[in-house]
Amino acid sequence: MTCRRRMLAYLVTVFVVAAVAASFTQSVVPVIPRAADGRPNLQGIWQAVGDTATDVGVSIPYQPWAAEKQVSNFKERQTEDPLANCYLPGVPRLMYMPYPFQMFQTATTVAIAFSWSLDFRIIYTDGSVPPSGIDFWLGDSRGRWEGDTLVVDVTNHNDKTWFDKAGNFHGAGLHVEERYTLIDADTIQYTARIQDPDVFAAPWTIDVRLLRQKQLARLPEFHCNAEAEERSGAFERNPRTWYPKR
Amino acid sequence: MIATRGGVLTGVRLSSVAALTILCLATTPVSAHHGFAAEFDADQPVRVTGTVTEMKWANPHAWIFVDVAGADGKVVNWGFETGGVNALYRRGWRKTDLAAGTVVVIDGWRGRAKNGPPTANAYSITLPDGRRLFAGTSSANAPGGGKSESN
Amino acid sequence: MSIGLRRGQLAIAAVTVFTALALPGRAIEPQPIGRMPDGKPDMSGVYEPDHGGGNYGLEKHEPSKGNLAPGGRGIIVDPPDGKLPMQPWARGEQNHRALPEGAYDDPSVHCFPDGIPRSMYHPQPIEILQPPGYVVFLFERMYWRIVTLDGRPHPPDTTRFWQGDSVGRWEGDTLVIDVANFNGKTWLNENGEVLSHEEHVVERLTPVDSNTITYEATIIDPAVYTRPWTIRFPLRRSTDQLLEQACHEDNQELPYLKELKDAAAPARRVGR
Repeated sequence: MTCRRRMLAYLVTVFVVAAVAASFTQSVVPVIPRAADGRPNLQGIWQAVGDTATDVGVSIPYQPWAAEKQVSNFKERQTEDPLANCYLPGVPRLMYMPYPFQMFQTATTVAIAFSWSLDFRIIYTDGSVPPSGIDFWLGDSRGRWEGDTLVVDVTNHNDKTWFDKAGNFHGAGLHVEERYTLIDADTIQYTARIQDPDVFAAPWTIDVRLLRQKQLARLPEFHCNAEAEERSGAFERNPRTWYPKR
Repeated sequence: MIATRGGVLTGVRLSSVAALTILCLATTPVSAHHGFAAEFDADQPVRVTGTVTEMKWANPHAWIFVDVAGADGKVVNWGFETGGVNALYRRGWRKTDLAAGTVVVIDGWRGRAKNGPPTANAYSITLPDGRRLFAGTSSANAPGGGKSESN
Repeated sequence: MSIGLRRGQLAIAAVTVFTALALPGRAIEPQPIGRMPDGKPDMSGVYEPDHGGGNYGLEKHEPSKGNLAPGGRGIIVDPPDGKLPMQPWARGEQNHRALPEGAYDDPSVHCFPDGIPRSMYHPQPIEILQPPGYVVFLFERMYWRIVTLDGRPHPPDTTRFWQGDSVGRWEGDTLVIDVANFNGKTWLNENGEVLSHEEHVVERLTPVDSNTITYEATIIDPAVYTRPWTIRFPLRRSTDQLLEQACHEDNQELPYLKELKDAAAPARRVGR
C-alpha cells in the first residue's frame, strides 16, 4: 500500500471507530417530569424492587461487638424483629419494604404516604432544622436539592429499628443521608448512606431502585397491626357495622 | 392544704388546686385521652409519695413508675399514666426532667383493673419543693377546678 | 401556713411564667386567605381542631367525673336539637360501648386509624398539603388521607378503607369532599357513637381567614341513623410542626381494658 493510502486507511479506521464509540456513549438523555419550579417531579406511587428488605445484602462494617449482636439478632429474628410486632420500621427500611407508597411535592415539603400501616414521612425542604432532645422511630427529615437530586438528612432516630429481616441494626446515633434521583420518568435511584460511629467502623450505603406503580390508581391500605389483631381475634368483628366478609 | 389518710386523698382546698389548675390549662388541646374514663375510676382518688424508678417517655401516654411504701412497709411499684409526650415536649418539658430517684407526690385516679401492679391516672405531680411537673396536660383531669379541654 | 402560702404563690408564679414562655403555637395575626397559583385557597399548614369535645361525644355533654372524659359544647348543627338521630338498635349499641367494659372495642385505643370524621376532631395537630392534583391530610396520630381532585369515581364497592376514599372538588372557596368505601370498623368517638360500612360523608372545608378553616361534615349512614346529620367546628392554624406520635409501639392500655371486658363478658352476652 502506498504511504498515502495507508494514511487514508488509518484515518478512515480512526473515524469509524470514533463514530461507533460516540454512538455508544452518546445516550439519549431520558426526559424526566419536572415540577412548576423546574425541580424533578417525584410525585407518584412508587415501590422498591428487589429483596433489600429481607437482607440489605451488603457487607456492613460493624464494630466487633455489633457484629456479634447482629448474629444474635438474626437467630432471634422471629420475635426480635420490630416488624414482628408491627412496629414502625424506621428509615431507610420503610423505603424498600415491598409495599407501595405515594410521594407528594410542594415548594417547601416532600411528603411520603405509605400503604404500610398508613405511615407517613414529612421531608421539610424549607431550610428548617430538626427539633432537639427528642427522637423518633422514623427520624426527622430535612431535605435540599443538589442539582436534580433530592438530598435528605435523616436524624433524631431511636435505636429500636432494624434495616432488614436479617437483624442488621443501628443505634441512636444513626445518621442517614438519602439521595433521590429520577433516572427516567418511571425510576428513582434511591441511596441511603448510613453512619453510626457507635456501631459501624465506617459509613456504608444501601442502593435501591424505586419503580413507578402505574397500575395503581390510588394508594392501598395495609394496616399491619389491625390485620394481625383481626387474625388473632384480639380485635373482634362487629357484625352489625363491619363490611360483610366475602 | 391537702389532707390525706393512709395515702388516700380525703380532702382538698379547692381554691388552691383550682387556681393552679386554671393557670396550668393549655390553650392547645392535649393529646387523646384514649379511654381514660374507662380505665380509671374518679371515685377512687389516690395520693402517693414515692421515689421515681423510671419514666417511660412515650406516646400515646407517658408512664411514671414510682416505688411506694405501703402502711405495712412493703414497697410496691405503681404506674402513673400522664398525657402524651408530644404535649409535654411542646410545653418545654424534656425526658431528663424527671430522673430516677426523685421523690414525688402524685395525685391521681386509681385504675379499675385488678390484675397487675397498681396504676393511676396522674393529674398532679409535685416535687418536694412544691414545683409542679408536666403542668398543662394531665391537669385537665384535676378534681373540682378542671375545665374541660374542649371549650 | 405562711410558708405554705409563699410556696404556693411561688409555684403559681413559676407555672405562669413557664406556661407563658413555653406556650406552643403563639397567636398569629390573621391575614386574608392565601392563594395557590390557580387562584384556589391555600390552606396548607398545620392546624389544631377546635373540636368541642367531639372525641368524647358529639352532642353537648358534661365532663365525666374527674374530667377523665372531657365535656363538650356539642358540634351537631343539624338536626337543630343537636342530637344524633340514632335508630333504636344503635342506641343500645352505643350505650354498651360507653361502659368501661366496652372501651376495649374502640379501634382508637388499638391505635387503628380513626376514620372520617373522627380523624378531624380527635385532638391532634393536622398538616394539610396542597401538592398538584391532591389535598393531603397528615395526622399526628400517624395516619393520612389523600383527596384526589381529578373527578374520578370512587373505587368498586368491594374496596373498603379505614379512612374511606376521598374525592374532592372546589366550589368557589370551599373544598367539597365526598367520602365513601368505608370498612365500618371505626367509632365516631370514645362515647361509642356508631358508624357502619354504609357510611357516606360529604365534607365542606371553607377558609374564613388565613388562620381558620370552617370544617363541616354531613354523615349519611342509613344502617345506623334515621336521617343525615351534620357537624361543624373550626380548624385553627398552628405554628407547630408535627411530631411523630408512635401510638402502637408504646401502647400499654390494652391489657387493662381487656381485663375489664373479659370480667363483664357473661353479663355482656346476655345484655346484647
